Amino acid sequence: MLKYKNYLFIILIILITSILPFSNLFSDSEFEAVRIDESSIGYYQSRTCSISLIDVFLENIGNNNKIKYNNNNYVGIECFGKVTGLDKSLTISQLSDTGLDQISNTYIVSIGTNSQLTFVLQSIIWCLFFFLIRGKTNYNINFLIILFLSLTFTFQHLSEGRFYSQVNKYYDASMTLKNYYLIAVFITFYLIFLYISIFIDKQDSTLINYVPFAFLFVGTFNGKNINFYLIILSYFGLKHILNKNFINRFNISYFIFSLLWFLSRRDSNSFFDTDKLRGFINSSNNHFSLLFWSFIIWLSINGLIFLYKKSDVNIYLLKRNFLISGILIVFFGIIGAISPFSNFMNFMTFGQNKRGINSIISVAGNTWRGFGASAESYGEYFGFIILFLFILFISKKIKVDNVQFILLVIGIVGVVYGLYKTNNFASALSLFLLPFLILLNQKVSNKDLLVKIKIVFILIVFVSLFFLIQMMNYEYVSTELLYESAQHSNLFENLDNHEKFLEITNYFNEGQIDGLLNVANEGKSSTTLTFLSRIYTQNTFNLPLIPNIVSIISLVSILINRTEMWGIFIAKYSPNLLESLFGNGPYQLNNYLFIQDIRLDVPDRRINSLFLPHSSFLDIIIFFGLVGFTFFIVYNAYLYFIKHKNSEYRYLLLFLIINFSKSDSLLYISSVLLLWLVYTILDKEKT
Amino acid sequence: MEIDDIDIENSCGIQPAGVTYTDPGNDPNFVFVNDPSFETLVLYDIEGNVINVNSWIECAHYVKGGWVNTIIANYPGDKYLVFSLIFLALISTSLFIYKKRFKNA
Repeated sequence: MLKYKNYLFIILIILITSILPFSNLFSDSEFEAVRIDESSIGYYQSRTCSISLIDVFLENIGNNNKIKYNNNNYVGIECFGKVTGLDKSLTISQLSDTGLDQISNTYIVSIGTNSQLTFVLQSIIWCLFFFLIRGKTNYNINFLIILFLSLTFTFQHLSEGRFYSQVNKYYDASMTLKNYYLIAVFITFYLIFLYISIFIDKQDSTLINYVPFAFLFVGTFNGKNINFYLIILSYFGLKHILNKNFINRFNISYFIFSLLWFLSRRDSNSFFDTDKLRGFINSSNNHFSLLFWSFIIWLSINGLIFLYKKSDVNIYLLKRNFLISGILIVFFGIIGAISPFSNFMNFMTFGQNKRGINSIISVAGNTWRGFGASAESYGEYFGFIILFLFILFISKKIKVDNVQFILLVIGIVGVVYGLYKTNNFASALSLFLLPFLILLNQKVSNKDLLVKIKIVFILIVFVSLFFLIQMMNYEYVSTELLYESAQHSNLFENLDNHEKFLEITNYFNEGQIDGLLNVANEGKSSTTLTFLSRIYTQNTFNLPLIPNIVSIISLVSILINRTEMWGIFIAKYSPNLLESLFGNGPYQLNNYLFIQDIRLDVPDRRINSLFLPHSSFLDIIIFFGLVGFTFFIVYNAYLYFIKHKNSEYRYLLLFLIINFSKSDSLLYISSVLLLWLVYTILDKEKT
Repeated sequence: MEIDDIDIENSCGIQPAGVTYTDPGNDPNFVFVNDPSFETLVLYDIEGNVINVNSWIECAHYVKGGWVNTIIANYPGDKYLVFSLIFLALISTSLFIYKKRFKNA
C-alpha cells in the first residue's frame, strides 16, 4: 500500500490538473469577471476567451440567478477554460411532484474546453489514479504495441471524421507533417500507451478489484468518441494475442462474424451523434469505422480474457471499493445537482458521457439519474452492491471490525438512497426476490422439500398470470405489442397521425393484422414487424398448450412496462437475413436507427429523442444477431445452471441478466465490466 | 461565398428532424424562437463580432450570412501543444528506458 503522504500528493496533483486550467493563471487578461445578470450579457459576449471559469464562479457565489456552465469543445486552445459566450435561455420544465410547469430564466455560460487539450489533461488525471493502486515494481515497454495501438486509435479520427469535424474547429484529415491536429492525437495516444505499459500493465492481477470505480470514473474523453477503459483493454488484448493466443475458438468465430459484418449494409450518409453513448458506440456507418470498432472490440474482449486469467480477486477489497464508489457516486451526483460549477467539473474530471442531472428533484417522465448517464444502469449498480453485500454477510458470513462497520452503514445508506432516487423498480424487485431465493436454498436442506416449494411458487406465478390474462383479455394481451409497433410505423402515409391511429385501431379491432401490414401497407413496415405478425397470424412456431411466442413476448412487455419501447424497436429494426443472423457489427446502431422509415406516435416534444431498444438482449441482437444472442444466453445459462450451480455468487449473474433484459446497460462500458467482474468472481471462487 | 448544407452542419450540427429552414428575408419584426434542446452556439463574423444563437434555424441563418463558429485563427495553439507533447514524449521515453536499464544493471 502506498504511504498516505504519497496518496495526498497524487490527489493534490489531480486536483491541480483538474482546476488550474480553468483559472486565469495562464492568461494576462485585463478583463474581470462581473456578476451575471441581464446587464452583463453584452459584457461577456464582447470579451470572449478572456475571463476564466474560476473567476466567473467566484464572482457569482450567492448569485440568485440560475446559471449553467456549458462546455464548448469546438473553440481553440487559446479559449481553454475561458468564457466563450453568455446567453439567457427560457427553460420550461415539468415538475413531477406537482404536475405544473416551472418557467425559469437560465444564464448559459459557455466555457472553452478544446477537445485536444482536454484529451491530454484527462489522460493525465486518469493515469495518475492508477498510481494509487499497488502493483508489481518491474515493467516492460513494448514499443511495437505502443506504436501500433497509437496509430490504430488515431485512425478513428479519419474513420469517424464526421463526428470529429464537429467537435474541433482545427480538425484536419490531411496526411501532412503540418497537420498538428492528427500529430497531437497520435502523440497523446503514444503517451497514454507508454504510461499504461509502465504503470498499469504491472497491476494486471489487481485491476479487477477496482472495477467498482468504473462507475465513478466513467472515462469518456471530452469531445472524443472513445473511452479510457477501451484503450486499456485494447492494450492488454494485443498483449494477449501476441502471447501465442492468436488462433483459438473465440478469435476464429469473431473473424467469421467480422467478414459477415462487412457484407451487411453500409452507407456514408447516416450518422449517429452518439448522444449519451459517446465513447462506446460507432458514430458512422462506413467500412472504415466498422473496421475500427470490430478491431477494437476484438482487442478489448481479448483484454478481458487476459485479465480474467490473471486476476487475483480480493473480496474484501471489492466490498470496500463498492461502498466507496457507491457513496462517491451519490455524493458527486448531489453536489452536481446543487452546484452548476460542480456539475461542470464532474463532467470534465470523471469523463461522464453525459452531464449529470442539474436538479435534485425528478423531472416528470424521467427518473433522477444523478451522476450517471442512465438511471437504469446506475440503479442496477446500486442494487448489485446491496445484493453483493447480502451474499457476503448472509451466505459467506464475513466479519467486519468497528471502523468497517461504520463505513458499511454509511455506504449502505448512500447506496440505498441512490437506488431509491434512480427509481429502478426492476432492480428493486429483483433485489427483493433474489435474497429470498438465496435464503430458501440455504435454509431448506431437504432437497425434495426445496423442489416442492419452488414448484408451488412457479405454479402460483402461472395461475396469477392466467387470471391476469383473463382479466385483460387474451386477444388484447397477444396483440398489444404488434399494435404499438404498427402505431409507430410509417403506415398510411397519406393520412395524418390521428387518422392513422384510428385506421390502425380499426384493423386490429377487426383482427385484420395481415391485411393491415401485407395488403394495405405492403412493404411499409419493418421486416421484424412483418415477421412477428406472420408468426402470430399464421400460427407458426406454435407448440401444444403453450401460447404463441408473440403473445408471450407481448405479455412480458406489458408486465414490465416495455410495450412502447419494444414496439418502437420492432417498428425500427428492419434487418435483412444476414443482419438478423449475425448483426450489424459491434456497437453499430446506424442501420437500426436510420434505415427504416417510421412515424413515431409520441408527443412532439419527444419526437427527436433517442429511442434505444431498452433491452440489452435486443442490443446484442442488433450488434451480433440471433446467433450472437443465442451464444450469450446459452453461455450464461451454462454458467448459472451447470458450471457454478453451487456458488452463491451466481445470483449476481442472474441479477444482472434479469436487469439487462429490460435495460440498455450493455451499451455502457461500466456495466460490461461489471458483468465481466461477475464471470471472474465465479471462476476464481471455483479454483 | 457559397454556403452549402455541409457548412451549416459543421457550424450548427445536424438539422433536427421536423425543422425546415425558411429565410426570414429582411423582415425587421422577425424573431427567432429559442429551441431549449439546442445548445447555445457562438458565431463570429470577419470583424471578430460575436453572436450567440439559440436554435438551429437561427444558426443556419447566420451561417448563410457569412458568420462562422471559428475565430479567425491567429493563435497557433495546436502547434504549441504538439511541440509540448513531443518534448514530453521524448523525456518520458528516455527516462523510462534509462530507468529500466539502470535497474537491470
